[in-house]
Amino acid sequence: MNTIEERPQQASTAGPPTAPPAGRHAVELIGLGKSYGPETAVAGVDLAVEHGELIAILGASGSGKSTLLKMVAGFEGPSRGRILLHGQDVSSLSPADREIGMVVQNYALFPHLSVARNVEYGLRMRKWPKRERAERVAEMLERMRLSALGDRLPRQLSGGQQQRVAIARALAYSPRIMLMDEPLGALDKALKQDLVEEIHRVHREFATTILYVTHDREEAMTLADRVVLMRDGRMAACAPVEELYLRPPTAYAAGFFSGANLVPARVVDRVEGRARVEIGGRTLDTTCPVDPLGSPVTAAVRPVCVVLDPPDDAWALEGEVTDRLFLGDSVQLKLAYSDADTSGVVSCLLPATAPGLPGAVGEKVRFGFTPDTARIVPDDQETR
Amino acid sequence: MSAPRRAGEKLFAACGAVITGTIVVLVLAPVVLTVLLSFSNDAAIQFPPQSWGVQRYLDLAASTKWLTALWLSVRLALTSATIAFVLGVGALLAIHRTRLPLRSWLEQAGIVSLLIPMSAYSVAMYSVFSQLGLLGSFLGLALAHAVLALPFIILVGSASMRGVPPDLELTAITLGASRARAWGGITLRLVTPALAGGFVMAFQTSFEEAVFVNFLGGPGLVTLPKAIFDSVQFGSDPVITAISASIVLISSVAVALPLALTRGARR
Repeated sequence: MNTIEERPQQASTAGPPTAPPAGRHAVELIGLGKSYGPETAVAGVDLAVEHGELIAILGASGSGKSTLLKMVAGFEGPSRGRILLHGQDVSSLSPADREIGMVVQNYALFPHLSVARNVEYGLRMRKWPKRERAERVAEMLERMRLSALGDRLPRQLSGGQQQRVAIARALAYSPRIMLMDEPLGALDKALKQDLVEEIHRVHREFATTILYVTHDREEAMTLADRVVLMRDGRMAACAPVEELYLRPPTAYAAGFFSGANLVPARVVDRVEGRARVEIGGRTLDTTCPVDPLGSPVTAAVRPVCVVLDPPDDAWALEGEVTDRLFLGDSVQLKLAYSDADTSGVVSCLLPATAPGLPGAVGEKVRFGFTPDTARIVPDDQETR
Repeated sequence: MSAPRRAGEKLFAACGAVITGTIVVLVLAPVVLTVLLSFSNDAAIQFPPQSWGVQRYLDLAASTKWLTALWLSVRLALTSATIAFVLGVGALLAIHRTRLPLRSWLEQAGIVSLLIPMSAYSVAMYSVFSQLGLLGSFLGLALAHAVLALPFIILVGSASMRGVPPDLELTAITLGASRARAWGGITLRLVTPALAGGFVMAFQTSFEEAVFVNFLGGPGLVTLPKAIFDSVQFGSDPVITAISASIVLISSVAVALPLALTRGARR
């Protein structure tokens, strides 16, 4: 088990970070899959990550996102496909030889080592000379604002400080990529916000390529350049954050990432890129980027695109408030509507100061979806 | 309003104190008595002692019989505790850090010697040892004691290993450590205080063991417990009070040591 000694020496293991090789992706996953017996955990994922990109791998539990990360880290061997880091096929390398930095939930700081020794660990394992180690540790502590804490033990640190140590340790030897596995998974919301900002700063200043696994869409939204949405072991979507949020490609992406209402509708008329649909007996103009295959379709409407008392009766629906949540600046309402053959509940988000805001559950309201904000999305039920 | 309840609580507390006190006295009185008697210069053991002194400790120090037995016991306990330690640490690695099939059974198997009655076990061991030619040999007895001592390493080590997140080791590996180095440098390092405690308990188990040695030891292997046993059986050498007092001292240190070690590690 002397992998360290047998390992081929690579230029980037010692000394300052080398420039990434031009024209190659930081990470390239080619048909990557993992099966446990008959169970498929990850099915054929293809992904190319640019240098310096922060990719959020988002999904519910059991979606395969953690298995994907474990394969990139090297803790799980892929059943199919290949993993390339900076153009090198690392599929069969041990985690120690892949030159990755890893930050896990609860940070996994070594409890018996001081902050400085934690940060130094990777450099010692990679046999950096003593003086360079000391210089690098001092530099990392400085850059992560930990200089005063070098002699402390991890348990003497706050949660935020621990995260900074974990990041400093992972980045100390200038890894090719940093993997973050739900780093904020166990934290309360207030602390989370601070740490999200910290990760954002680190990403900007160190220009590291980061794969960030999370189940929290807000984290993904705030941090990521691009989001990979995982579902049932497949890549359900992969797009820049704003693109994915505003123009979700599928009903699942619209529901999970944009938090949109998925409203059943019928296509009445259709022109290039748009469609007139019937919802609850009323007609509405919608954006329709894809050719709807049948008449019953799904319209995705984000809660902020619901308006009260619409000026045009043509698309106004009658409904009843079934739930009301005061969220501070805004109020979230659940509105139930029905007609002869359709019924549904939509959630809507209104400013707390909006005129005519229903005050109680049970009130009748007129509401509608702002024209062209609703978006016809293909169902992806069949991929389930 | 709460007066009757307080009276009830007081009664409970008083009962508790009396029961605890009785148990402590019953357990400790013979020990204290032994220590007292060891500082008597009487020719035979008698209570109350007629004269005081350290004659028995001088006799103990001068007697080859007792010192030989003591030295044998120390060597035997060190050997068997070391065997149990090496086996136990290997088993802990397999149980907690591999995907070995039946690894949970391994843990059960490691502690099974705690459950089997010693006398039945000894008889079984006797027939096995006689076939292997291990009867009356130091190695044989050390192996038998190692089996008895193994559960302490496994139990204490397992409890401690469950407190070490596997993420620590995985992270160490991503940082460039080999599997062996990550295990030795991180996980094993973190459970060392507990393992040291387990080692002391293993040592003590062998040091005090008096059943196996009678079955498997033979005339050539007289450990301290066996020497005491023989001496009581064939007469009463007053030196045994000095030996008993010494064992009490050694045992107390052995019990206090792991506590001190774990407390030190927690700080």
